[in-house]
Amino acid sequence: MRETVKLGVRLMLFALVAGLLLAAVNAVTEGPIARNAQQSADAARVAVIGEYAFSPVETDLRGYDAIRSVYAAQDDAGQTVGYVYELSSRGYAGDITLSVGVKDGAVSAVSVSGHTETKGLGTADEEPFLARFAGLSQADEALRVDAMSGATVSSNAVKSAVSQALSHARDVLGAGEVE
Amino acid sequence: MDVKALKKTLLNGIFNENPTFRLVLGMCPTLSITYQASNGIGMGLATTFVLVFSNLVISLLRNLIPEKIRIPAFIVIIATFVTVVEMVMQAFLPSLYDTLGVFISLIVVNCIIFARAEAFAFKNPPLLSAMDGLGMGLGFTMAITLLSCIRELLGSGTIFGARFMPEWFEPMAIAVQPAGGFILLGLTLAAVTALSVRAQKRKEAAK
Repeated sequence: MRETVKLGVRLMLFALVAGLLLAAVNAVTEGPIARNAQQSADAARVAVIGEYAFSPVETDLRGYDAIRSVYAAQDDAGQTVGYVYELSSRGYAGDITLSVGVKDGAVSAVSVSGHTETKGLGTADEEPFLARFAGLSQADEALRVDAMSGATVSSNAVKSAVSQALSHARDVLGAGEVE
Repeated sequence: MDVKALKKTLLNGIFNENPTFRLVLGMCPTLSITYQASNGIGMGLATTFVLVFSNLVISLLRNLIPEKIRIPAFIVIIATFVTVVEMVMQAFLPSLYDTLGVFISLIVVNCIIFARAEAFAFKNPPLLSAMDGLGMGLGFTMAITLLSCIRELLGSGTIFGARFMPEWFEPMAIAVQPAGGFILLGLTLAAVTALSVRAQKRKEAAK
């Protein structure tokens, strides 16, 4: 019994020292890690709409199953100039996550941030395919964009996600109408 | 502590007891990440860092760690260093962290580190233990970098992203997939064993 307590206390001491060491390292690295995360999250948004400040928008997402979050892009004066949608849509082999920028009621850019589709398939086509969405303002236009050859299911996933972003921006947020 | 023993310990990890080709330890990271040469070298160096420091600390504390609780104590020490590497890398080398992310935490369960703690660092003085960690780490790095170069060359026609195969070469997708990893590891092991058996025989014939 006494032996067990002694071993337990010894092990506790090791764990305590390890914990203190990790706390010290964490104190140093916490700030830079948070900054890096913020920067890389912003980078995805900047890529689809441009250099703005982003803040999350609380909004009604019922009926829009692909939309994960919405951010308002604000200029230096604090005026909302557009929205960035983060979406996730069911593809051929898993979820495709993408960001869509909507400015003045039209798509500014689409960027895919992660997918588990077949490696290499459609990658050559990916950029021209995503570029075809730029400038579209009607939800049904997005659904009629030409698909990537050999990757119809993946293409459809992207198309329906973009179309949801457009219709949400128009119907719920009222983007593109004169405020 | 003489220099000769340090050198011998260092070379032992790289050749005689190479963790991948001789001890056949640490097979999880060896098989899972070696589809790209840059992964192999990144993983190898991160593991080397943890090996050197965990061996050093375990050797320094070897008289304070009771025999009965040595295994949990090793795990606490190893996991602490892996977490330090992970946090520092995430904070100051974010691009490297992004490519290695999940593999960094996997170092905790790399049995090479545990095996060296148990078999070497717990019984030997600190400097020699750190040297053993360095040798084992470099041996591991060389082995998985070699395997990942072969897999990347066959599977994508490149090494470190630079193209090495002629235009007509059709990449063998199986080489970068798990099954291909097993097959190529087996072939590489066989080749290394054959070479070292031959070298051994030549040595004996020279005598």
